[in-house]
Amino acid sequence: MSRLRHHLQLLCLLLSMALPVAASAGDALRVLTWPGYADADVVKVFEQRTGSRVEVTLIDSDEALWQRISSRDAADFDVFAVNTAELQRYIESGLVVPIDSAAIPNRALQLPQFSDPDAVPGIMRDGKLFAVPYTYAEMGLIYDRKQISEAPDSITALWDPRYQGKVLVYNGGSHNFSLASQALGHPTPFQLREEDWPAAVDKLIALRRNVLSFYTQPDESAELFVSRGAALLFANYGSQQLKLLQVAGADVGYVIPREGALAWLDCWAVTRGVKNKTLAEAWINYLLEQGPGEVLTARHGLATTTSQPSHQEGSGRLVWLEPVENTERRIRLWERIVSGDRASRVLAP
Amino acid sequence: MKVGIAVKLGLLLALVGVLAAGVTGFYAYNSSRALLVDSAKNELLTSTHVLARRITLVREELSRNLQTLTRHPAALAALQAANPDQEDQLATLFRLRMESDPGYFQIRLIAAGNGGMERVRVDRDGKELIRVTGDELQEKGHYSYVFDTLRLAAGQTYLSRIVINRERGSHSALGQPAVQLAMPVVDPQRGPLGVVVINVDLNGLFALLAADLPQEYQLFFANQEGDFLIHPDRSRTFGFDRGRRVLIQDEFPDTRDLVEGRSQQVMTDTGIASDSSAPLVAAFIAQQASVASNEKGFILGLAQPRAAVIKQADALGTVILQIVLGICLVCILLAALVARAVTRPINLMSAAVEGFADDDSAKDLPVRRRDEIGALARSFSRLRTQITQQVAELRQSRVELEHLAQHDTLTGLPNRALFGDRMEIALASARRDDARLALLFIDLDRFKPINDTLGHAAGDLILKEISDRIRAHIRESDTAARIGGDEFVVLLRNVSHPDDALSVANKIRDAAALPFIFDGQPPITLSVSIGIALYPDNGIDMLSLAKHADTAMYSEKARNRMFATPEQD
Repeated sequence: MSRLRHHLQLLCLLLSMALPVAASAGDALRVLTWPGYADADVVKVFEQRTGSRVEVTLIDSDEALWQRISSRDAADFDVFAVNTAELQRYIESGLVVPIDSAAIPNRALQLPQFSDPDAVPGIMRDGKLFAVPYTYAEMGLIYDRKQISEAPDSITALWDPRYQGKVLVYNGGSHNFSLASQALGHPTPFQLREEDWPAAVDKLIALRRNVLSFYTQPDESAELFVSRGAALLFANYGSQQLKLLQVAGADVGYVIPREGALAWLDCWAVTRGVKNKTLAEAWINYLLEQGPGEVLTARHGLATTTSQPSHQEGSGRLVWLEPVENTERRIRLWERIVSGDRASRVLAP
Repeated sequence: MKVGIAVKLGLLLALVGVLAAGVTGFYAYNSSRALLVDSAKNELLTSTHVLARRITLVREELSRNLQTLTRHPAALAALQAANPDQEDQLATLFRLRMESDPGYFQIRLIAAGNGGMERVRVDRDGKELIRVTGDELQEKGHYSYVFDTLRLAAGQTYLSRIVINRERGSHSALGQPAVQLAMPVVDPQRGPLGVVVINVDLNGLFALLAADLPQEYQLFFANQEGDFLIHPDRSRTFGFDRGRRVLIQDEFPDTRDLVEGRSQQVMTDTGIASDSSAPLVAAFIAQQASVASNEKGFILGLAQPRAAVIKQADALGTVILQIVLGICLVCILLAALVARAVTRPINLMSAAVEGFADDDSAKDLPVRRRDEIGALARSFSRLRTQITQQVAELRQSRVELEHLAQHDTLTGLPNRALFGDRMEIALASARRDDARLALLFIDLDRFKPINDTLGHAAGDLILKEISDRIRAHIRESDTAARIGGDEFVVLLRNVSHPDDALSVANKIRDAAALPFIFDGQPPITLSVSIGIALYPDNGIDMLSLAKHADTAMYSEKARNRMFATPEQD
């Protein structure tokens, strides 16, 4: 019988050798993106249409994204979603390649503020298009209307001792420093001067002491918010989290604080390690269609670049994310803060 | 051996035997395989339950340890007020506990206040245990093992999600799969003041639990959502930590029922993952978290390569094959014997029929058998006896008929036809040997009156007597025959001299002259006339010799001369 099995294995081997002919037509498109950007049903339509296979990998922080793309010189992925601020270091490191605008005809469907490259800072470099805007969100505050009767109008509400142990904040190094900087009243939250650091660290330690917890994923934040009776949520994923909480039955409001809400605009970019650039561009073009756009808005509460956003509570301005003065330092210090270190140790070299 | 009934019958019987043995063997092998797979599944399921029970025991032991530590007066005292002595005492306790449990990464006492400041902390760093103090102590209030545990009553256990530990400065635990178990330290007046947290090394714990499982067993452990936490292929664990989930229900589709809570246990032997090289036989069970936890439950499974299970069947298969081959050999042998036993009597009968008249072959007929062949043999034997008897009778009749056709019925002497034959043979012989023979014609004188007066019966008696007298005076090689009413001929072979023939004639004449005596009758006397012809002296063929002898006889009758004159013509 073992011989029979041997023959069967041999047969399988021969069959599998015949298969790559069919498979090569659909080389896998390796997508690195955020939760909600490439749902299985959206991916399936693209796979059926192009006969390709799409491998989606999800990340939940800018740091993780940078790590995954830069670690092997962008060889592991073909296309990824990144915000315009983060995009700059990818361009500078040569990790992304220009996109052929003609290959993305659906850009014509985008609202003028997104289709006009000059209107979106950071997606053009030396006259070449490096990214196509996909979705955006401002990081407003979500609050529980039952616990907070009056909508908080400042970012400093996160530090309000009344909400001690009832605040949820995103576990992200770079822009938590921007948040602290905003709360401290600095004019340029993305550029910390050397003398600003101790105060920023202190501010973040104070934040740590006031929060219930730090979250990374939208689902996780909604679950914590509802089950632990949180009152205030810094919505790193913006309206996506609002939607999740509404679906979960929470009576929540969404507000843009007066300091202005940090806002990110996520774009699709193509890596220098791309195996099939045409397929990567087809992917970007496909996601600008109405179908994927509806999934984005209806299912995840995310805004699209092709339709006007639904109006949200709050009247503060948006502060578009910009590259920060030293990402590594912000992350290193943040990791110490989130691990529970005190200021002296956080600021240690 | 010719392709006869024996060969055909033998082949048929052998074929049936071999087929029966083969089919039986095949089914025995197949069902034994199925049985083995089933028993392997049940064995795996039992082992999985045992393992689950052990996990529960380990968890209970952890709870007991936590209870011991949280109820220790030093714990409460250290939390109520800064008290280095109590902290030292507690650190020693932690250290002792960690020395006896190599699966513990950390034991900590964390205060509820001060942002969840760690008060006493012992970390494992490689083989060393480190007491973390002073500035290195961290605030952990924002971790769920602190804020969720503080909501529990005294003595209740909190179980964290199982994740990769990302807390900076946690020594050996950093970057490792870990799970925290915690319990509040409760002041009867002031409520919970802090928590004691034990950080458990997941891989170390399972390595210990699964240590005495068979080598080939593969251990799977997943959370309620199906994310692998333990997998023989490390790269498939904690996929969510790397942004790409690797789910048990994708690798083992049957486990979807466990993930979705439709059943408590599944057994599968078709769980062939797309990137798994060998099919597995596996058992999985769902286990609910029995303590306060952010994990809803777990899925625990054990698998065994199908090949290893089937290997036992292959050993059995070899034995079955040997038995089948043995039975086949016996079948072939038996078939040959049966074929011989059936066809031997048939061959015997056939030989008996071939040698129908041969008594020897008839002796071998299997008439003593009590079966159909015996009956056939007996019938055949009877038939044969009848036929043989009838043929003998026919042969007898023919001999008699032949005798009748060649002999005179009254005297028993050869008749004219037989005498003619003998005469021809004798002539041919004499001609070849250049020998002499004599032909004697004998006629009774005055026989007719006797016949008329005494009657035919007396005449017949006289003719018989005369025949006997003639026969008495010739050699055995000579022939006497009656060729007419009272006419006889005698052929004398190898007559060396004419006088010899004459001598025989005289003896016959003398014998005939003796009186015949009948009952109550006067004796009768007769005489005979004899003519002699000699070959080659008086003729060289029968006709001329007969003519000559006839002539000589009549001459003697007439002239009382014995010798005929030589032929004139």
